[in-house]
Amino acid sequence: MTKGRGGFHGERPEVGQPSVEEDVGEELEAHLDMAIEDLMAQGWDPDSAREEALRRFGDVERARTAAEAEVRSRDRALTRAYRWEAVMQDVKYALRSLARSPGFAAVAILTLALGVGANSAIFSVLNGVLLQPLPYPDPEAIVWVDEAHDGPDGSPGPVPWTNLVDWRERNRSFEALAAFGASGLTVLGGDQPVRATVASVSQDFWDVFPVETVQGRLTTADEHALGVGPSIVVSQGFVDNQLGGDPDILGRTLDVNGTVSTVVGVTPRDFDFPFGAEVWRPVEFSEQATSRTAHNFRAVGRLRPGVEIQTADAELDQIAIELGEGLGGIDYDAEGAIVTPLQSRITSGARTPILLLMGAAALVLLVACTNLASTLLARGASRKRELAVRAALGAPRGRVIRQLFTESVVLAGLGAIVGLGFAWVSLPVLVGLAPEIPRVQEISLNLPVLLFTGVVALVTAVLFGLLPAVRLADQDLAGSIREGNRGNAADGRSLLWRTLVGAEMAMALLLLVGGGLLLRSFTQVLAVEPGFSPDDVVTMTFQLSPDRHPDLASYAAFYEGFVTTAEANPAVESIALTTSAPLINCCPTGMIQKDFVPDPWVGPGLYVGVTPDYFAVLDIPLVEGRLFTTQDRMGEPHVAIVTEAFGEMLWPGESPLGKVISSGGMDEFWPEDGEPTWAEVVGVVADARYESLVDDVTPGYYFPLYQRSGRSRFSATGLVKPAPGADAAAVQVVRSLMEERDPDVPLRLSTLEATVAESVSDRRFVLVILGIFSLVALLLAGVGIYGVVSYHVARRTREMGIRLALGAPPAQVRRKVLHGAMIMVGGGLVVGLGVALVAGRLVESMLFGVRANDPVTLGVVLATLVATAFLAALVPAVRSTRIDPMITMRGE
Amino acid sequence: MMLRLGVAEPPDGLGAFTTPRQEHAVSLDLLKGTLDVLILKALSWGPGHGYGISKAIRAATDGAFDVEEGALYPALRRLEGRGQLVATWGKTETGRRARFYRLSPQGEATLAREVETWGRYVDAMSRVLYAKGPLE
Repeated sequence: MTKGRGGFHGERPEVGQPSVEEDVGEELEAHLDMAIEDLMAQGWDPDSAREEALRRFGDVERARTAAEAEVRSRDRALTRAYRWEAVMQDVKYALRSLARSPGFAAVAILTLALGVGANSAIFSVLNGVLLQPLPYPDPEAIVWVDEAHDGPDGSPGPVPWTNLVDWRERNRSFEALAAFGASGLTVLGGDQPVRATVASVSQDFWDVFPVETVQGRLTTADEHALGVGPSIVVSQGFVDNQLGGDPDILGRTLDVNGTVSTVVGVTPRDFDFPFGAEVWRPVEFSEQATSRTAHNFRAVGRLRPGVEIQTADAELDQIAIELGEGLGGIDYDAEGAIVTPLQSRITSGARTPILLLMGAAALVLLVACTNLASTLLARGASRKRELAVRAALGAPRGRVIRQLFTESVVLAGLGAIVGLGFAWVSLPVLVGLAPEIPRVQEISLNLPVLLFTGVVALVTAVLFGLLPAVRLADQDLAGSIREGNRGNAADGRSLLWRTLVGAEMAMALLLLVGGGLLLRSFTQVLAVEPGFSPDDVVTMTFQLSPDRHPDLASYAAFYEGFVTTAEANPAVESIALTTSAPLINCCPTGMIQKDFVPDPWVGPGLYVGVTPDYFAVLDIPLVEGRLFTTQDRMGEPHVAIVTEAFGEMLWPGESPLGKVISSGGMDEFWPEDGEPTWAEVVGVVADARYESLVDDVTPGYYFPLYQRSGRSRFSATGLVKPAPGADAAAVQVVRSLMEERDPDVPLRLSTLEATVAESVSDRRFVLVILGIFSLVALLLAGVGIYGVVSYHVARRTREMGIRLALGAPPAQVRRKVLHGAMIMVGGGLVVGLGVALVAGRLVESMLFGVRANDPVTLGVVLATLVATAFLAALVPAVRSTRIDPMITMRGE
Repeated sequence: MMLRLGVAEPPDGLGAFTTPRQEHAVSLDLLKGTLDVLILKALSWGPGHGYGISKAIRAATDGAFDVEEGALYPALRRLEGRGQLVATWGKTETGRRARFYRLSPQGEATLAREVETWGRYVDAMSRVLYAKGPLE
């Protein structure tokens, strides 16, 4: 056998080995030569022999190509196997190496797990809420349609029925255009009376959302007609929760707000558009308001295939304008339409907070990576000897790098697995604590999240592992074997350390500033004067049935009877009823008229019906005039109480007392002759915030509930102030009272304090998460500094030992260490500060009462970080002065 | 009648070698496995190079199987890649350089298996083809 040549082509061809073509070619040539030899031995002449041999052989080229292909394919398979083998070897080596330093491994894996886990969890939310398309067929074609009231694209608002009918008829861009509304209505016929979210939808609605029913079917076009049915569709969740999971639900009748309705279909559990609806009924069943300014409905549509949103928007704008022109003098205020994709409309409120949290999670991970990179660099320095030996034994540089990098990948992989475990555990908690997130049912650790985690783990490994691996492999390894693990006192690596530590500081600063700003915003929100006192007020929302109270007198009597009886009970200190309580069921607003002048209207203004004790229960002070009494009832002159701001708005500089106002069109007292009902202003009270704590006060007026009703005559909120210590008793009193008077009215009880807390729950949620992230980052940064300074001290032990031996005061040595550390930190803080000032603008929308560059927050954060860094550096600095010079001088 | 053995459809379209030799020669799309078994069997009689294997097969089958000589080489390389053959360059009796193949233990085991399978196949086919009727 000749040396250096052979059939195994497993390795890449090195110098001296024949190529595949040469090998195969030579073999085939040999065959042909032997065949020719034999033929010539039989008597053939050379040329004919060659011809015959070739003929017998067949297609030489094809044989050659086929044989080469076989060889190559095997070579490829072998290379693959070989490479895989090498990778497995690296992984095993990495695992063994980690097992040798379990402390380091545990800390590293834990750090990574926290970082990766946080990112996975937040990404699940981001993916489920913002990224994944809506779970309806062709989701990009579904749009939300508003009416514009300020130019063709300004002031989006609800749409009047008649406008929508015309839009549907005249447009060419939409396959379906549906109106919908939703409210909490009493549904009877289930296990008990319940207040369900009932959606009233027009016939096109099921064309926009063609959900697959679990049972039965969706309502058809002919069921969406005046007085027909009504047939309703309910959700599986409703069937399970309220109807005992009745399998024979189809055909069953339910009383929905006084109307007997038949169930024709059941929708899947996770369909709850709009607003968490559980029951859908045809809106066409009742007659709709014909006024073109009765903005009662929301609209969704499905675009025709291929139609762009802008086209549809422009078309509806045009239609709206044409409608207005054709109407003559009729009241009309539509100036256009605004068409937006449904997905972004639903999720727009959640977008900024989620992105903010995602960014914060990314920062935490980066801080963790930076920490790990520093640690690996330090650890690597102590492995120089080991690596030098390996290099001496022939491992090429690339292999060493790959091996070191594999360690990082293994670490990152283990960290990612543990991190996913963290995420899996914390996700239900996260979602449970979170306030109303849209599409919350789609948040889960699904495939996209797993893929994301994998990518993050890989990037993480690169970030913290590649640099140290390359650095390490580039050591003067031969020199290291000679010197041992000492290394030089000064080398270019100190710049690298400084950069890493500085970066960590910068990122920690960003997180802390974010957290600090949100914290300040939160406290500012809580410090807002709501204008009423939520303390100790129990709320009860309920709704009377229309067919039990055919007229105003009937339910006014009910309300009055209820209040009087409840008040008489010693457990109840005071009780009031209202059509809209602050933060609970805001905000019926309408245009107001004043001074016996029907035109022009002023406003908008809030109009709230209240019983006399309302202001006492909520502690809303009287500014002028008087409060309502039980004398203000039906048959008596109409009176009103205005809020301070409203009074100022309507009659600037004057006292509102004695003036008259009316809320035309908003209550049933609009007589046939068109004359509004004028009420005299008898009192002025302080302003209160009705919509939310962060919005401005809502100006408006109050009217006596015993006298008029407003539009929402049937639903009311009770505000109960229990006698001291009698909370439970008071609740029991109102419950049994309602049970007694009308057992079919479902009561929802809560406290006003809980409602106030709930209104800021989204802020609180983001704040808590961000706070946790910031603290983790602070901790990591502190640990990072501690580690780096310790390492520096350890490396310069010899030098310091000499200094101390030569008589340098320990304080000086310590100072030098601290000085070096603080310079590192300072650089990072300056950079971080710069970024924070620039990036502040991004979170401005989430702030309240503080600017993004709030100096107090920035100052506190800087001070905290400097103090932390100082403390972290102090420990090793003090240790450095304890170095016994004799010991260091003597040996390693 | 002679059966032509060629390489039967590799997916890259190299196709079967189809140079008809004699009037009675029939080109059959035989499974790759047939050629492989013949090669393994031929080598069980002793190591050899490609030319030698083709002569051995022709001799052993008394000319019934006329091996398309070129077809051997992809098959040989494939069997080598699977580990059933081991190849080394060596010298023939005439001193010529040639690539010699021999069976590996894995190849021997494969051959034994194939012989058994073919045996059963031939048995079953014989039973059917020589049967006088379905009930026999």
